[in-house]
This record gives sequence, structure tokens and C-alpha cells, in this order.
Amino acid sequence: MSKNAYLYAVGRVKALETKLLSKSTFERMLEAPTAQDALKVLGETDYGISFGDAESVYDFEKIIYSNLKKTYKVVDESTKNPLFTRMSTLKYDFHNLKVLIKGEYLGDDYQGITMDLGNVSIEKIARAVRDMDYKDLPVVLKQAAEEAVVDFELQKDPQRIDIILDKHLFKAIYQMALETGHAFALEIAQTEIDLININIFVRCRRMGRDVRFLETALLDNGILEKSLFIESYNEPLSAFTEKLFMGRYGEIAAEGIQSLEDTNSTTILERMMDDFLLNKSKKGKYATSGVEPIIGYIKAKENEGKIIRTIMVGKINNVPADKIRERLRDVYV
Amino acid sequence: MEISLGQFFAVFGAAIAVLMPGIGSAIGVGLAGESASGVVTEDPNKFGQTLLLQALPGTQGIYGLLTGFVIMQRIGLIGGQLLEISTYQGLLLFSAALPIAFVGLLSAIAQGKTAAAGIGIVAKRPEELAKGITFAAMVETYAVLALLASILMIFGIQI
Amino acid sequence: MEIRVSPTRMELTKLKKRVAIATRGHKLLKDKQDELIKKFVDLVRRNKELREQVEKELTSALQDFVMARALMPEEILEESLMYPIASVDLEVGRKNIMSVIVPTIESNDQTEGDKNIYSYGFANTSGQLDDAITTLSGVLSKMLELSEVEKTCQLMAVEIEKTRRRVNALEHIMIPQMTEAIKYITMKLEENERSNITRLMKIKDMVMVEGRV
Repeated sequence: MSKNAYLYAVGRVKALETKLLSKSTFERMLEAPTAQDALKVLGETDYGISFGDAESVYDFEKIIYSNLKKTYKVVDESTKNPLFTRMSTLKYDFHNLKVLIKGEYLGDDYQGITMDLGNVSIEKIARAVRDMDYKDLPVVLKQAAEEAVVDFELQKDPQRIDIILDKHLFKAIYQMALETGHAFALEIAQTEIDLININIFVRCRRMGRDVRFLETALLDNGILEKSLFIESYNEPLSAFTEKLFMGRYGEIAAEGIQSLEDTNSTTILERMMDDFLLNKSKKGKYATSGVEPIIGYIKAKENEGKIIRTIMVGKINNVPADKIRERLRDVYV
Repeated sequence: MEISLGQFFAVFGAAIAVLMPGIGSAIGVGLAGESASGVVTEDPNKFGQTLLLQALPGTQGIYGLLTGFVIMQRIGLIGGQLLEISTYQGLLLFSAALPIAFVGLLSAIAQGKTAAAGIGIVAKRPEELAKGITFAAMVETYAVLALLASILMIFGIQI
Repeated sequence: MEIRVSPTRMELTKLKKRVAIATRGHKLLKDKQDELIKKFVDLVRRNKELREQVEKELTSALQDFVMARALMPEEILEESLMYPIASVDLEVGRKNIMSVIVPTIESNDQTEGDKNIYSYGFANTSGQLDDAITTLSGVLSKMLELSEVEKTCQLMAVEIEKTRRRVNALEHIMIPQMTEAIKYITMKLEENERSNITRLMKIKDMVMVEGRV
């Protein structure tokens, strides 16, 4: 597809980038004495119009979602290509599917924790799960649901529901990235897969799971080979770090995994992984045409939501500012 | 009236001198325009600034038209009295039209992209409009040089 | 203290017997109390230790939860935990410590061997959640022990209090009272004796005077 296919969308996104929250806004939220004050700072920004009837500090999730929804809508409208947002919103459909399948087996109503950001209506998924008839769902959801349900009947392990659905989700994201025909979309999708795989690798080790479990949990289609993880699993962590060292994830290996070994906490590693992906997306900030600015903007918005959430949860629970700051992701602008 | 091959080439030259930069400018202005509408959708106050940038790739079309006119005037097409032109003279005029035709086409598209990028600058920093224009105007240089070459050649040809 | 006993020999013998029993009972109770206190102190120490550990671990687990929550949308966090994977069987029994019936709690962890305690996938969840779950699962057995020890402490405290009251009652009221009563009876009896002797002597004198006359 031509580089100039989305100039209108790029123009819009460029104008919208000016409204992304800057570091200083987040710093002001952090320094606010109470959660209420932090929310007030947020209200003065572009998020103000998403406040609606939100009053309490606990409504911040609603505000984030309403703003994200707007972002997805703008991108959809201006690109006339649903693939871009679909790559991001599919995860909400999969989340709803997870909730509803687990809820079905628990025999209780869990609609309260579904997310209204996906493309498929929650009622539709709920009906399909209840009737065990998934033919009305989009094909990726259908395949995923069928596999997860069959597996659960055999294994009775709820963790496997999540793992199977996650695998289907990222396979679908990879396929969509291929379908857009843009190398950048593919790079972002594959980077995300790699980062999640690294995360799976270190967390499986901490949980003391065996290599067979790792093999089932790892996502497909990453740039890093699955065999790299599997072969390093029973070696010391430093062997794995060395293997990553020369590649594109060298920085993460050097600092992130090192900090995991030093502090036995994944905090720094996870922050670095999110920042890594954001940095890759930042290409969109400098590109003036093509899909980079569009994908970059979506990632920037999602990242912004994460930062707001971290600050607000921290503020509500009176976590010291330094401890919140340690977990804050980088910003796009 | 008998029409010679020379006359045909001369008119063909005038035609591509107008045609190709015209197409280029249309594409260029279109690209910049798309980008500009994107910005204006979010921020209608930027209409004036983005319009300025959008107009820049339009100049190649004007240069092409100018070259076309000069050729037409030289061969007497405008006066209504088509001069006698030999095949070689016709081919010479045709060749003279080539620089502006090709440079006009490609530079207009390139300028359109630069202008679209410049609109990106305006979207974020309206005060830096001049820089955006400068970047786009740099592309203009080569269209001007091609125009100059074409015009000089056309006037240099003995008819 | 008023003592209302009839100052008779029979009463005296009865009282003396009761004092002997009370003294023996007092000694026994005293021993029981000492033993209970010794056990109680041990338990309280263990209780304090456990409570501190549990509180520390719970605080850290809650902090991990808050941090995990800060990194994950509420819905995803809840989805991750909605289907618990681990189950624990509890068996509650009873045990006799120095005639105090205390509960015992046996936990039967179903999640042994390769069974895992994490009920969620990795893609959208944070490692901090793993930390919280790990800490919580470790703290469960300690919490069970703590509840056992704490209840035992409470029951023993009641028993100690009861025993102490009995010991005190014996030591400070019953025994002194009875001793007092014994003293009173003895005195009374002696007095009677003396007045008897005096009376006899008087009669003897009178008889002697009479006889002489």
C-alpha cells in the first residue's frame, strides 16, 4: 500500500498529538496532595471532556476508557481501515470472552467485569458462550473459544483458558499486521509478542513451572525463536541474558533482567519492556506519512491510559510519589 | 492546410509541458490537502496556514503552463498563424519541453509530500510555519531551474 | 471477719480436716497455675511471632496487589483472579492442654507437587500479581496456625484467670477464714476449759469450807 494512503489520518493524528499529556502534567498529578486533586489536574487536560458525570476519584477507569474509545473512533474514521484499531481492540473482545467462559463454568454472572471497548457486543459473546454455539462470533473468537472450552473440559484448569485465548489473540494480531501490508505494523506486533514471551519466560521461572508448561505458554510468531526460550529455560538466567545481549533486546536484558536478579521484582523489567515498545512506536512521532504516526498515536494513547491508572491507583492508596514514579512509563511526546 | 511532422512535435512539446507538471501539481496539492484536512478537522483555526502550504506544489503546474504558452507563441499557434516548422525544429522544441515536463511532474509530487510533512509541523507548532514553507520551497528550486532551462532552450531555437 | 461456727470439738475436727484439704488443693491449683502460665507464655511468644510475620507478609501482599492494580485495569485483575485454581481442605479437631480443650486446625493443601496456584495468563498481567499471590499462598498456613494459637491463648487465659481466682480464694479467704475459725474454737474451748477449772476449784474450796464447818 502506498505510503501516502493515510495522509488525512496522519494530519489528524498530528493535530491530536499536541493534546497528548506531557511529562509535566503527570508530574503535577504526582505532586498533587490528594487523589481528588490529581483528578482535577487531569480534568484540565484533553481528558476533561471525557469526565462526563464522573465525580469520584474511583471513576478514573471510566474516564480512561471513554477517552480511548474516542481515540479508536477517530482512527477508524480517518483511516477508513478498521485493521489499525482492530489490532488494539481485539484484546477487549478476548478479555470479555475469558470472563464469560470462566463465568459460565463458575455458574455466576460476571458481566460486571467485562469491558465495553471491543467490537463484538458482550451480549453476543454471552449468548454464544451460554449456548456453546460460537458460529455467530468472528472466526478468530470462534476458534479460540472452541479450543479453550474443549481444553477446559479435559483439563479443568482456568489458567489454560487464559493461555489459549492469549495465544489466539496474538496470532490474530500478527495476522492483521500482515494484512495491513506495512512493515511497521508487523514490527510493532512482533515486538509486543517478543516482549510478552520474555515476560512469560522470567515469570514461569519464578513460579517454578516446568519447561513443558513454558512451551505451551509462549506465543507464536515472535522475532525471537521459541527454541531460544525453551533451550535457555533450565540454564541460569545469565545464559539467557547473554543470548539476548547482542540482539535488539540487549538493553532489556542488560538492565531489566539484571534488576530482576538484584531485587527479585519485575517492576523495572516490566517498565522497561513497555518503554521499549513505546520507543519503537515513537517512530510515528517523526514520520510524516505512512502508518507510523497512526499506530504510534494509538500506542501513545494506550500508554497514556496506563500512566494515568498508575498515578491514580497510587494516589488513592497513598503510595509515596517516588514509588509511583518508579513504575511510571515513558511518555510519547 | 498541410500539417508537417515538425508542427506536430512542437505542439506535442507544448502539450506535455502543460500536461505533466499539471498532473504532478494536482497530485501534490492533493496530498498536502489530505493532510491539511486532517489537521483542520481537529483544529479549524489552522486553515489559513495549512492552505498556504497546500498551495505550494501548485506552482509546477503554472510553470508548465507558462512553458506551453511560450512554445505556442513561438510557433505562432497563439497568433492563429502556425509557422512552417521543420521536423528537426519540431523535435528541438519537443526536447526543450522535456525538462519542465519531467521535473515539474516529479518535483510537484515530492513537494506535495514535503508540504504534507510541513503541515505536520504546523499542526504541532503553528509558529514554525515559515520553516515548513522553507522546506517545501527548497523543492521548488529544481522546478525553477527546469523552467529556466526549458525557456532558454525554446528561445534559443531558430525558427 | 465474722465467724459463725459453733465452738464444738466436732466442728473443730471438721474444720481442721477442711483446712488440710484446702491446703492440698491450693498447692495443686498453684502447680496447675504455674504450669499453665509457663505454657501460656510460650504460646503467647509464638503468637506474637506469628502475628508479626503474618502482618508483615499480608502488608507486603497487599502492597503488591496495589501495585499490580496500578499496572492493570480493574477488569483484567478481577478476571485473572475470578476462577481460583487452588483449594485447601481444613480439618478442625480438639486437643487437651492441662484440661483446657483447645482447637487444632489441620490444613490439607490440595496444591502439592506440580500443581500451580496462578489462575491467569501472562499477556495482560503483571509480575507483581505473581508476587502478591505467592506471598498470600505462603501466608495461609501461617494464618491457620496463628488462628489456632491465638484461640488457644484466649482459652488458656480464661482458664488461668479461673485458676488464679480459685487459688486466691483458697489462699486469701478460705484458708485464713478457717484458720481463724479454728483459732476461735480453740480459744473458746480453752476458755471453757479454764472456766470449768475455775468453777471446779471454787466448788472444791466451797466443799472444803463446808466440810470443815
